[in-house]
Amino acid sequence: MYRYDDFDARFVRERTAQFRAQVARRIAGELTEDEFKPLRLMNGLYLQLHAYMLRVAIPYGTLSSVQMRALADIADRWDRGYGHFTTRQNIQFNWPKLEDVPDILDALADVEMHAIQTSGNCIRNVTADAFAGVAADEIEDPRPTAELMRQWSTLHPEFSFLPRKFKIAITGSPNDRAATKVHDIGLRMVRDDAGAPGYEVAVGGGQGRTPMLASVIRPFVPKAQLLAYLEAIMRVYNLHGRRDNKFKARIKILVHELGVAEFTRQVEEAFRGLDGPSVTPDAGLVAAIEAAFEPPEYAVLDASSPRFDRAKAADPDFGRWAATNLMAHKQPGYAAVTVSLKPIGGIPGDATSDQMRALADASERFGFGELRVTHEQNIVLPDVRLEQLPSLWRHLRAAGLDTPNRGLVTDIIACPGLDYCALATARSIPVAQAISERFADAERQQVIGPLAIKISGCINACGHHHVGHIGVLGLEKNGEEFYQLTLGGAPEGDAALGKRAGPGLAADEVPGAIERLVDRYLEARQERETFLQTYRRLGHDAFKEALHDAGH
Amino acid sequence: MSKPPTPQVLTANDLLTGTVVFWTGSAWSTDPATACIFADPASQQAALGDAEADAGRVVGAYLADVDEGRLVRLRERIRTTGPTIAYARKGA
Repeated sequence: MYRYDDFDARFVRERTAQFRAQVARRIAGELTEDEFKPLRLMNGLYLQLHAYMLRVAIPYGTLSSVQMRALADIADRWDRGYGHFTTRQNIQFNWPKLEDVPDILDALADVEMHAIQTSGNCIRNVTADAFAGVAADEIEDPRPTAELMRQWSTLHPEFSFLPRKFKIAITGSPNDRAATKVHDIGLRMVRDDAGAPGYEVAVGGGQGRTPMLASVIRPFVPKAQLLAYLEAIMRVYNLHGRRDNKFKARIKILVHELGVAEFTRQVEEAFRGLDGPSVTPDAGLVAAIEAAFEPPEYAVLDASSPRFDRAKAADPDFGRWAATNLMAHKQPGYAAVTVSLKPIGGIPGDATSDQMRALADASERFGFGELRVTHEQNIVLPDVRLEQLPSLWRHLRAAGLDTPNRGLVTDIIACPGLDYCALATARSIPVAQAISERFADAERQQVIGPLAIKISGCINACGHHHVGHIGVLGLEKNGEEFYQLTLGGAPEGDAALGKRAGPGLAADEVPGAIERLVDRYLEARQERETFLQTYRRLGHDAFKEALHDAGH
Repeated sequence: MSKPPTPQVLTANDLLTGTVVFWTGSAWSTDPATACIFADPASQQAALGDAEADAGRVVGAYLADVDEGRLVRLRERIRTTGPTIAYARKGA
């Protein structure tokens, strides 16, 4: 893992001290709220419905056991004993007091964490494939590039007052697990003809009220030139992005209005005009970052484990979990484990402080002390020996963390919705809970197979409903919540935006409607076909009819 | 005849704790039942002005509609009573 150098450590401490003074001045009445608000937002402190909310950055979703324990301690000492992991691989605390926040930031700085640039019109936390560095299908670990981008974008003076917020996602694998096509910039590692790794650069994706998929503007940028190329993109956006209308300020609108060809031309021109060497990082710095992501000391193991195989055969519960929550590891004899934060009827992405500690313990006992946060709001233990999986599973089970549902119908993404969020128009979490309970049967979930339900409580789409195989959007009309379904969205590979299906539904009608869609799929699917594949084969109307058939 | 104005209460978050509070006419209270109801636009605007003057104690003050003393919008009711879900069920 990357560790702070002296510069990082000093910078974060200085920022915390600055914010402590700013909070004191606000409390003393020396700063008005209008003056203070941008300062608190720069440090990740929002005001939500019931209280302040602190959003802590987890760079590219990677954290250590020490950091996870610190988050648990913060939850207990200054919050209400839990935290919420988000679709941007961050964590949010929902109940901090303003006067405590400087102490919280100090506690974060103690473990090399902060809340800088988790809000505001700047480059936000770079998100990455949660299986980076361990996935069997990966070209290279993209996190050295992600860390380089973190350093480049942190307090970059040219990019601190962008037209709007800016989100970058990166993957080192041809199988996109980072939803790169719905980010302002999506980076996908590819090789050139000579086999050298670089990045395909896509720009202008995003969700929100105007969902769009990113367009590839360069099929290959050599790794060494990536920062300069990104700088050229940012420069075009900064100059021409719309500042007159908040709803048209994201880069996707600029790409759309200029057209991909003209936008690309301007980027290429800016790129040629840049003083490349002044942007390109020093080779020594790059080498030091790369060294921080060197693989751990793996044991040399057989590709299979008789102990693991016996346990699967002996215990159906373990077998079910092993069938869903494991991912192929590049190192023989190891697996990457997804720990679901989606217990049946639970709150997607929430973890209690006890669970955070159990996860930290697990990462040390059964790995190298590293954890990942996924954009699906789960946790990954990246390096577990196959032979230790039964012990790990028992450990997780004792903490209520053994739900066998990764990628299945109850592995639901949901934003905080109207239960917490000041922008929401409807609740998300209770709808997720009701769907989860409806499909609680683990065996049935496995029969249904991969199915991504994603729920947002307003058109800002933090719950990624546009790319849900089934998306649920919560709205309000005449004081009542109602829910609009979309079908056929997909964040990965052949990315697609969902298409609206049928009229709005009351909250209690949503689980039944989803069940009718699932039933239609099960009737119509051909061998081994997923929900999405069947949807694409039969078309939208076949599923829309299933909703109508029930009299809606 | 024009529609009668909607009665409103003045609400905000406590600056130090973030707690949701209501203006009783003389102080901020966490109990919405004690909120002063402003029936006409002039008194509503005056109340907002009072809140601005009290910016050392509260943040994000605004007016919320009430009907027979009850907050009208679901958003305001949830904001007052807290999340509708059982969060942080340790060990659940």
